[in-house]
Amino acid sequence: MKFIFKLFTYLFVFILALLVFFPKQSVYNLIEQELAKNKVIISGEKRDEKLFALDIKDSDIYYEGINVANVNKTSFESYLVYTKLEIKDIRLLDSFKSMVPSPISNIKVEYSILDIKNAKIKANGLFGKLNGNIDILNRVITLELEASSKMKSSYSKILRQMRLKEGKYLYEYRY
Amino acid sequence: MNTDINKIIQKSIPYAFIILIAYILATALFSYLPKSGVDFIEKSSSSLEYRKYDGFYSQKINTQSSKKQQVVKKQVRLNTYNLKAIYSTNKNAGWIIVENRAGNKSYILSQYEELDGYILTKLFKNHVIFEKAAKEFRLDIKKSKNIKYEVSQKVNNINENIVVSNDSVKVNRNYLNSYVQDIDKVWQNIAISEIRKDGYIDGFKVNRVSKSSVFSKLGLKKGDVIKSINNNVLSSYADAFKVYNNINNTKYLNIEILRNNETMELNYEID
Repeated sequence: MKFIFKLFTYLFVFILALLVFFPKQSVYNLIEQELAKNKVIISGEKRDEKLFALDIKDSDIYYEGINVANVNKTSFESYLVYTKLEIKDIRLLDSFKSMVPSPISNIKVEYSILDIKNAKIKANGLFGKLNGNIDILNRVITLELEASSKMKSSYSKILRQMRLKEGKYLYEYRY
Repeated sequence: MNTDINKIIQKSIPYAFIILIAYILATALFSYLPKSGVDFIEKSSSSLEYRKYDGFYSQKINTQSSKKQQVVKKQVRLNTYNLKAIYSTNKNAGWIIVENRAGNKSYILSQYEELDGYILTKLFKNHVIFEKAAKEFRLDIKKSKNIKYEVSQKVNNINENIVVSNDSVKVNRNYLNSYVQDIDKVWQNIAISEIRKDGYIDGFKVNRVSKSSVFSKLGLKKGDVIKSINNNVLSSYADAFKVYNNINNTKYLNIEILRNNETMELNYEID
């Protein structure tokens, strides 16, 4: 019993040390390079590396060379058993405001080993509230939107692409 | 006391090793991962501002100087060449492209250059003056059959948002803004798709234009390929979008299109 406890303590210290020394900025560079292959560029950001997290502030998002949005803060935290990505205050470029009302206040993606198969999505903003799920094994993203009155009145074209069920708009995407 | 310290050291050694292993692993990972990210670099070529210079097309200057010349020398029309293009400045300088009558040889001439004894002396918007043996020869540019100013002229009668006066077409800024501020309205009235050449975007083809829209009134037609706007070559969606976003700061609009395999220019003044 004492041996097992010792083993777990060693494992815990190892994971903790690995998380602290983990090259977070380098991983972020890799993500940027992978996104760039799909014509998405995150540019002009300020990086702030913390013990267990990496904060990205004031980044401009470009798609195919077009500046589509500005993100005030992105925070990535990982404790190995629990990972969280939080994006705060997304302002879309004027030309894209006709798609979704801007700003989007918050988008949160959480993944825990207690639910290995799924990652949870939560978002809110002028568009309303959005809850979603990423089924990692079946590669399906399901979204459930509680649309705000503004979204219902001015963005009905987008809502028409979703399925209405019990007052909520449902959308499913396979990748 | 010494035994206590020894015990602590003894107990902490495995942890120190574990931390060291974690550090080595992280360092190995660090050396494998990229050291720098990706930053957006703006293409310098697409940021050139389009300007139309007063006098560049100024009829006042043209008529004044041509009148002066008429007093001194008599002009004779030069029929040996076809004038294909003029790049002129307000000082009547610049360069031209001429083609011989047979159409098998073209020449690029700048001011004061000689061609078969004819010296290019002055350049105007629609014609140039050559001199030979103290005599002036006028060569007029041949207007393309496809440049249909009547598209705008028709509009002039029915809509004050686009006004045609002499050689210039003025577009009401508010009318244009009604499209710029509503991207949905743009896509309702025009459909475009990219044209690719060797894998790269080489302009945007107009697949559909609504007859009542600003695009139709500006002279765009189904099948046209938009090659450049305000001298910014459209080689990506970003180039097209940049023009769209900067339209509020633009005073002149120059659209180069390819219609029936012939390059044409549509010029507008935004008022």
